Amino acid sequence: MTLIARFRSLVAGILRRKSMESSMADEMSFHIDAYTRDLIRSGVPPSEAERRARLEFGGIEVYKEGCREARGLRMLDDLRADLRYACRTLVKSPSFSITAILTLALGIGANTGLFTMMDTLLLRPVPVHDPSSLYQLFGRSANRIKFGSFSIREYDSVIAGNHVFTQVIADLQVRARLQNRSLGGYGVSGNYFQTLGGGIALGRPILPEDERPSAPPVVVLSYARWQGTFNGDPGIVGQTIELSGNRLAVVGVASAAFTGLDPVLPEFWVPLSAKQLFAAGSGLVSNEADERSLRIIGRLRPGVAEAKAQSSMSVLLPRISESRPMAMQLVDASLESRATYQSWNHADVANVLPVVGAFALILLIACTNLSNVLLARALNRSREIGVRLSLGASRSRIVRQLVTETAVLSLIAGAVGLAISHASWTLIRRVIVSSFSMKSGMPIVEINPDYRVFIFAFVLALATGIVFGLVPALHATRSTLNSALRADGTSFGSRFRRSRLRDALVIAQFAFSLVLLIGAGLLLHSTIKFGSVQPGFDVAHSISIQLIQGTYSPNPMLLARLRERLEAMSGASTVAAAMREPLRGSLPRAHVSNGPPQFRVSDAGYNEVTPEYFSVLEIPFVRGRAFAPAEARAGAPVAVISEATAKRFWPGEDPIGKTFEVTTPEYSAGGRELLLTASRTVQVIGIAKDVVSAWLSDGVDATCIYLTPKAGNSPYYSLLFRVSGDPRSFVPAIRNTLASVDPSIEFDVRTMSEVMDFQILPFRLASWGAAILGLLGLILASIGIYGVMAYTVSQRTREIGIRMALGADAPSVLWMNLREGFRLLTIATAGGLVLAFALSRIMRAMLFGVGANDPATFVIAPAVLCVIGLLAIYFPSRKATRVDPTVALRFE
Amino acid sequence: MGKDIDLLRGTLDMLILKAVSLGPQHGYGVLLRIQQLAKGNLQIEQGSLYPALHRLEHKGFIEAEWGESDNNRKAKFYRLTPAGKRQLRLETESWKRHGDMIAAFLSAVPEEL
Repeated sequence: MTLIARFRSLVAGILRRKSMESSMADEMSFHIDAYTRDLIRSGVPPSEAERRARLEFGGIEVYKEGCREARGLRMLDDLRADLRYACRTLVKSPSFSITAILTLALGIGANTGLFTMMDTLLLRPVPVHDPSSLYQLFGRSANRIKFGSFSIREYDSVIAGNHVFTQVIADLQVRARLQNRSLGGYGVSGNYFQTLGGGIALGRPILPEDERPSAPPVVVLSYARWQGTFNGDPGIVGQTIELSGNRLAVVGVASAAFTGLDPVLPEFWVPLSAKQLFAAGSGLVSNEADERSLRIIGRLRPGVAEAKAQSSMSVLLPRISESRPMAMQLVDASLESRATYQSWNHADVANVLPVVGAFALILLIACTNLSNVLLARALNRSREIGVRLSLGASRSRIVRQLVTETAVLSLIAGAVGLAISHASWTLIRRVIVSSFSMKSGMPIVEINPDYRVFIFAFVLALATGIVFGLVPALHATRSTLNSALRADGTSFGSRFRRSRLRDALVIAQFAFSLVLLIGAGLLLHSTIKFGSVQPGFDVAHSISIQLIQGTYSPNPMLLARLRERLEAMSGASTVAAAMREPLRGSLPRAHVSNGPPQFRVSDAGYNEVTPEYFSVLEIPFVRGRAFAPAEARAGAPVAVISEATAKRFWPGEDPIGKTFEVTTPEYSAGGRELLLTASRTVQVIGIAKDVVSAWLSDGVDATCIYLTPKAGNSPYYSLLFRVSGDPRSFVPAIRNTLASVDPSIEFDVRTMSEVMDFQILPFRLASWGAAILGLLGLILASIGIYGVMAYTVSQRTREIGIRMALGADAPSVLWMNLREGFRLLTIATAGGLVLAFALSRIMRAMLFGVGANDPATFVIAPAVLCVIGLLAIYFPSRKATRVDPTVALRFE
Repeated sequence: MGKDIDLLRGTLDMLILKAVSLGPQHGYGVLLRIQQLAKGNLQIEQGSLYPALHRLEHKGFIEAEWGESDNNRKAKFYRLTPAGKRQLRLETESWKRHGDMIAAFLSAVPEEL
């Protein structure tokens, strides 16, 4: 009840401190004056009266302090004094301060960096109007496959048939070339800008009337593109620009803040009706209106619950998907919030858990190290603390002051950490943008800290400072109360007391470091295993050429022309085409049923290749033969199968000449959408050696069926080029040749060994990162144990001196000290191993060819830890043997 | 005398509230009024009044205003707030109950058991 009054009074006290102080002094002097006058009136002589009045009033300053305390201002005064004292102490020992701040800043920075990313993707509202009411529509087919792409016709039906959305928008990603520069943008429905509240810097947004078939083609440029390509020309609106050879009128420039619904920066927006200009069509579906490539997002009507909207859409979707092929008809709907860039799901949590864990461990190690250093400092100041305690300072007051010191330290570290995190994100973003040729091709949004990140860093810093400062402070004030004032706490006769807390901190550091080391070891071992994977084909002499989807319209003529040109190049030997080139993703799956007698149906990976595929990659044949060129051209019903496939489907039989039925799916241009399926019966004509066709991490194909290309075409074809000599020198020439066919088509040209290295890269980076983290932890822990041992030895100098005077020899003294270190190391190793056994399973998804409890790692990592730990305890222990008894006994 | 002070030290806040409730008063006036009401049986260290006054003001039970004293000097006058009035009533009641209880306790005779 009086809380508000108290708060108001406290704020008034802080804000009007001066006037409060003077009013307090006036009030008391009035009291003394008035009393003096009354005393004089009652007959006391004036000279005596004032003295008596002052005497009877009591200590003015004491009561003033009482008033301040009553107003809660005392704490603030203390805090200010503590802060000043803390800053002075930190400045006085700069090397300690800098080390402590850097250690903590690394820990806080790493964690803040991680949080910044999670904040951007999971917590921050998407920068559009009222994102919390936006939901993306998904449908599910009878066999529980999730579909997120819809056709224009379906989109129109959703608009017409739903009662739960006020607005329904649709968009898809498109690519285009502008002045020899490849841009990523969006095709959007006419109501897109209005619904999302897309800000416009110049001109107008894309409007519903732009969608009419008769409307002239228009484009809205992004602010960055307008500034970049057109130097912010204010007359841009109304001009006509050429995108991928199509002329479009610029009607507006979006404001810099508008980026849409994805964490990327689009460079232009066109109406959906303009998307065929960019040849994104697959050519598989003749009717444009039936191509399923749109993402549908609705704004929920106020007052409609998500569950109700979902059930309402579950009724609508089956109706509007009736015209789809059977396997793709939808049976129900689900809605996913678009309030943030990503929505949480369990798979994501499992993926980020090991990373979060490793980062948290590093912070923990940094903190325990700091705690240990602080403890040593506090023990060194035990004399000062003891004097203050005996002069009447309360323990809580001293603890508060010591904690203030750590809090100052950790807040500075927090600020530095924030800077480290921001700098590394800027760097990472630049690396990502420059080194990845992403299919979407749009730069990712800037990962900037917002207020949540600041709060996170602040709270993290303050919490670590207080928690890890409190422990040593409590410890130091306890142990010094009785012993500090004696000349020497460890002098002969008084019992030597080990600090259990320091021991515990060192043990914790070593145990955490061991966990990190084991994590690093598992990744390192995975990397070694990964690097030694044999893909089974020749990577040294081939170049893979991938056509970037959306920049070309697939047709057999194009592919033939490209092959012709490439084959004409000097130094070229063979060119092959394939639906999927190896090492660029999992193979598509086909249903296989091998003959009516058994009538077994199962899944198998498959690829459609030209006959040259086997010779370009030098995939040897176990039996049989590859396709003949004529068979390939005609799309003959023949198949080559891998050795593993043969064993799986015809165990103990000769598969050559056997027939089976294969049902292959067809996907939309985006590759996301199942369009239709086709069955054919093929005959096995050859068995090829097993190779790795999917990602390197998937290992040798469990099943792989090579089919001839179907008559007609497929948009997936990539080319494989075999050269004699170093393939790298061919890459520029190939680019030129390809550009001469059609400059608007984009290619991804890489040697096969680059493709392979690129896949090992994440493993290598992860294991290096983990190794650096592990070593950092180990170094911190070694410094910690070194400090503890050195401290112990210095505290026991006199005891050691006496032992030696009484006849103990150097080895026995050395052993006595080493034993202490061994004890700590043994406990830490055992604890760390238990912890690592428990935690390593969360890493399972990141490992390759190595179990989560890989014995090699679990032996080598503790061994490394013990060797380094032993070195850290050996040197201070050896110092003990050099103690000169005569000096030691005079010590202090 | 010493015993009296001990007993009453915890109730200084209540005494001040009561004194102020009889009309706005400056610190010295509060002291005089308390001494007058206690009929000289109570000795308070004069300065200790002020932390108590500030505590009550901090809690919002009394409020202060600068005004003129009898001899035309500026003085800080304290006045009871509505919250203070409520608090005084509560404390009076609880004090009375307390007093009655103790009185009944101490006047107990063997026959009543």
